[in-house]
Amino acid sequence: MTGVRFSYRSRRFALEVESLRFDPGLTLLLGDNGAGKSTLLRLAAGVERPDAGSVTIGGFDLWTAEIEARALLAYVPDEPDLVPYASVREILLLVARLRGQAASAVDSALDAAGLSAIERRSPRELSLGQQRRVALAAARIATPPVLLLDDPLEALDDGTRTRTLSWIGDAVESGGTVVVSTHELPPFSRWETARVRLAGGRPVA
Amino acid sequence: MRRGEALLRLQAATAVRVALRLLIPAVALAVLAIGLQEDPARAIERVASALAGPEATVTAWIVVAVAAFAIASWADPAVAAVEHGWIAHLPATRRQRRLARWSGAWLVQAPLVLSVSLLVAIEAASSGPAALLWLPACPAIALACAIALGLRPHRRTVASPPRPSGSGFASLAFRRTVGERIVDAWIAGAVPLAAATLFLRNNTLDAPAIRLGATLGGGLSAATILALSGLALRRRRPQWAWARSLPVGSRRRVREDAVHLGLSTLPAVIGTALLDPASGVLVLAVIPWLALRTATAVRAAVPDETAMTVLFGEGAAVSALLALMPWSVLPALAGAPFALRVAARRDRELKR
Repeated sequence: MTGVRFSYRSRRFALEVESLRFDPGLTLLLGDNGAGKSTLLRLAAGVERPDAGSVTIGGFDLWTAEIEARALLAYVPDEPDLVPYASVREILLLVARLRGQAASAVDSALDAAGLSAIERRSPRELSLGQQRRVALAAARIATPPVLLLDDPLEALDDGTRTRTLSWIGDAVESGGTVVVSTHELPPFSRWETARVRLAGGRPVA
Repeated sequence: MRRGEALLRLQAATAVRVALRLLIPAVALAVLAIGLQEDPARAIERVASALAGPEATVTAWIVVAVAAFAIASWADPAVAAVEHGWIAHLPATRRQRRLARWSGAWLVQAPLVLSVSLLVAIEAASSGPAALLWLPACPAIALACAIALGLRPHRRTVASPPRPSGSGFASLAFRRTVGERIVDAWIAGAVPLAAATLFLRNNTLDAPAIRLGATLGGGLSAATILALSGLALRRRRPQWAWARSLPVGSRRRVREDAVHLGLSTLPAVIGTALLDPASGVLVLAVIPWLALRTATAVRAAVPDETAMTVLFGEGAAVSALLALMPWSVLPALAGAPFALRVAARRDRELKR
């Protein structure tokens, strides 16, 4: 991220980042509530566009080389805003098609996330925890090298937490860049390679 | 498969479901509106003629445009999800996502486009093929509405809970909880009122019979609206533990619920008053009781459907009683404070 500035409507800048770089390994994004952690991840994932500055993934600008940059990342938001009238399977099928995967990748992701029983339901019929599992299952499809995870363990049952942690560990150990926004440090300490602390929308030392 | 095609396929599946959600109440309303006419076939011909006949009117097409815009606005949150939010992080271009959004918003209007096209075809069958020149008008209007809405700047929102600020907060919470579901409740509530209208129009009745029919229809309509609004409140605001932690008493919470529920029945009261003003007053007088009973049912420790079925049964019984014995409005009015006390007690018991 270089020279990034971003504001929500009628608010001062919610995020101001002169320069920030995430290297391979697990970077923990820390800060108080409202510090800008989720906003930073939304900008890094290309869900929001900065008012100024640029965000690049693997050397590709998120807004000028959209497909090349986005093909390298997966994003799991804290409150997944999935397509409300599509089924879980249809959403995952879209992810597989956009990432150039076969439909069988969807079955694997559904099994891994324990979602096979509810694959025909729409997000409107799912709990927050189940919606987060759908977003996690989507991130598992082709597992891109850059993972942006916003409170990935929140609202998950014990079994899913364990599987998610194991998947994050695998991603780190295979050379991926994983950025996790969290208030829970112990579950991630084993793989942690860097920390970025935010305060008032700015990275602090 | 190409990325744009993948997005379009998902959006098509989404749009069909949204369109079906619209189609069922729209068809019900259309059947009711046509059924209320003395000569339904002639009524359809008149509408077809106004749209595509030799004397087609601008007003008819303005109505079509307003309907198309209303549908597009209603469907926008569902179809816009493909352009903004989580989907945006997937490898597709803004152009592909926007095209998918427009396509979905356009497809949602299929019921309107098909209905208007059918009317144009009917007019072409009676007045000649020149009427078919109007055929592309509705799809074009629908497309224009879809694109116009899709071009609005994306609203950046930060997730934050609504802030409590006196009674304004209760209104905000009710609006967000019940929201567009109130339209479904009104449509369902229109059914008994429409039945009463048909009954009164197609029979020669004396004043007491008119009052009986209008009161029963209006009461059932109000009971239907309250049951469906109450169901929405129960499902979308199930525990409401956070609200109960605020320094606001049970009585006030229940009263605020009842006021909002009562206000939602206004269309039923107005509809009843149009049939028979005295019946309108009777139904209005019984609303406080019914609304407070709904506020109680919202807090009942039984399954959602059970609570609302019992509530609807109670509303139907009260309506029948009111229609047969109009004086029963007096105990209903006098019993409102008692109903408030019962509802407040139920609210307090929820804490245990």
